[in-house]
Amino acid sequence: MTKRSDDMHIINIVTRNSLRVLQRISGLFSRYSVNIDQMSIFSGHDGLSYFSVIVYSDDHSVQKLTNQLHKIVEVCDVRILNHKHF
Amino acid sequence: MKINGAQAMLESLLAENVDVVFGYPGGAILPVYDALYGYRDKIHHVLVRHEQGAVIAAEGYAKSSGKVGVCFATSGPGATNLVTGIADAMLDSVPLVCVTGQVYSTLIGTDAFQEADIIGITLPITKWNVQVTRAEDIPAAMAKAFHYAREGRPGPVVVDITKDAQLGLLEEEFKYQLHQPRKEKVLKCSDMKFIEIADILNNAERPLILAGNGVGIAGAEDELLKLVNKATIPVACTLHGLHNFPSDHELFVGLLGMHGNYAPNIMTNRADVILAVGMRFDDRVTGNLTKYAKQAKIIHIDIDHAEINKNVKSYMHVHADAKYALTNLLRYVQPNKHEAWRELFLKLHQEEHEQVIVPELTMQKDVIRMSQAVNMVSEKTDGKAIVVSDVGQNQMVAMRYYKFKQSKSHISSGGLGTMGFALPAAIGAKMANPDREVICVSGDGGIQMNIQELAVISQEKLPVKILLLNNNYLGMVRQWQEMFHEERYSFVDLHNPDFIGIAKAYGIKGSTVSDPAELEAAVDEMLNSKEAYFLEVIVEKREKVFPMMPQGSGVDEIRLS
Repeated sequence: MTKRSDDMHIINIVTRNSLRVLQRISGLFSRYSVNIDQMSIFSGHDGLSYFSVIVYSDDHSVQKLTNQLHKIVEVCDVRILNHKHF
Repeated sequence: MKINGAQAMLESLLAENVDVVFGYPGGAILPVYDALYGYRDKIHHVLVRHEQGAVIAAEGYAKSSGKVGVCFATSGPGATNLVTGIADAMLDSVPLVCVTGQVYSTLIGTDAFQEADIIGITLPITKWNVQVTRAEDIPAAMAKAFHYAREGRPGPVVVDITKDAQLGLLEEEFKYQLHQPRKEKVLKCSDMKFIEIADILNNAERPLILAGNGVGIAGAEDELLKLVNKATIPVACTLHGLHNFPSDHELFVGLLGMHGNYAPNIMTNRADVILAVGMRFDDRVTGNLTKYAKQAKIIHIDIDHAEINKNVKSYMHVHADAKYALTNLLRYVQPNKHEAWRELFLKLHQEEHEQVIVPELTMQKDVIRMSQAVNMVSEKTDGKAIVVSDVGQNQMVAMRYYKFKQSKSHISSGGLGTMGFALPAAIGAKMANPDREVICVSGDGGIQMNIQELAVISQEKLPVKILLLNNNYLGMVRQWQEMFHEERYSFVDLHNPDFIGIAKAYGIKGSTVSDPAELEAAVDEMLNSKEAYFLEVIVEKREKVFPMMPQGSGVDEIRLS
């Protein structure tokens, strides 16, 4: 798959740190056919987990996916950065 | 006195005012069933014959009552048997709490007997799920489960409790606190937005309301009726919206979608403003999206933000509960007439009436049609029964010909299209509504997918009426094969058992009717029966359901024949 820089989105997600939360998040990406290019996660001392996910996909798909991410009970916040921010 | 985890789970149910549970015992949920013995007078447990029956019965209970449906199953196969019903509840927004037993926490991951990763399996088909491994965590997990099952757009939740958590004693006294999320979402919308939307509606020449499941979930049936009466806007309903608006109202234009009525589908592509309330533009409703209501300003009201602009781009939207949105909109809409627009409806309706409805309902000498049986039941129950339909032709006919006059009356599997749904769901609906007539409408294919649940009707002495529309075919698949696959009837021919013999073996009265002249007497006998009754109607073998919107075509390309 070619990576068009215009398609790059960085999705920053803050979740409560609990078992399976990685599975819930990554499951949504695969369900919406959005391939994860890079992902880094760390858990803070505040009981929260911080996800930074890089994907190459169009705005509409990313928006749809983000709408679903908000519905995961453990998710506290979702922010998207795209090429317009760089 | 200290209680164990199993008792704490049951106490949690009592705290949530649960008095009916559908379930099936097994090894990993034995402590719960042991505790349940002591709660027999408080919790009515309905013993199903297959776990899929339990979860679907819980759905029927929830859909017909508005309460949360609860079911129990053991670990492994018990839990995996729930999966279809959970997926069904997810798509149809049914609030469920499914409690599954799990192997001892020390055995998890060892491929222990009857171990299945039910949390992993149900992750994409639940609103939320959790595994509990300590007794003291059970009350909070249950509170959270009920909260998420009900909150916003309802849905199913799975609580998987390990056997050691069920057996373990709570360290402290049992205390049940309703779950309070840290940030309570209050969905509000500014008056300005409602004024703007009302303005669009007030200036519309051809407005159309699409009412969905959300109207009923929000309890906004009265608000919808008031709005419609005030502004004189025609209302079309989705499959799950059907019972949310009286079908005998002069502004009711019919059912949307693939096998819906002619007028509402055509009107969708003629309207200048569409107000979609609590519906999600499912593909069975919209047909080809590139040809869907391109001329209209679409105003979408939905409680689930992810539904806004998911399939159909809206001109404006309100992200809120239907009751709240309609109440506010009602303040600003103005009386209107829309006479020319309503005349179009009458003209389109007349076409369908003459070309489809009249010929279908005209009795023939030799064979009964599905529509005739449903129409007769509709007239004789005055549209006030709870009709639980299965999936396929029987479902489409039940929806088209049963004239619903009350909400929480049409129970069906819309999103997932789960064959075998009707019988267990009817059991659930009857448990929730002992005083209402509950009629299970099924086909000969669907009834056999959960026919074992006849035993529950018998054991619980539930006066559920079963109307089996038997054409000895998988009728809907056969229809598609006839229309789109050059009549290659591939595996749709059913050699059926003696259904009445089966019903009798389960202790249920029944009869078969195939002569049109005897249909009325047979329906009367079924409806007059004080106990359960199984009426098998042998129907036209090759009947097709029309109108029909072929897959890939637009809503206005719906065919009458």
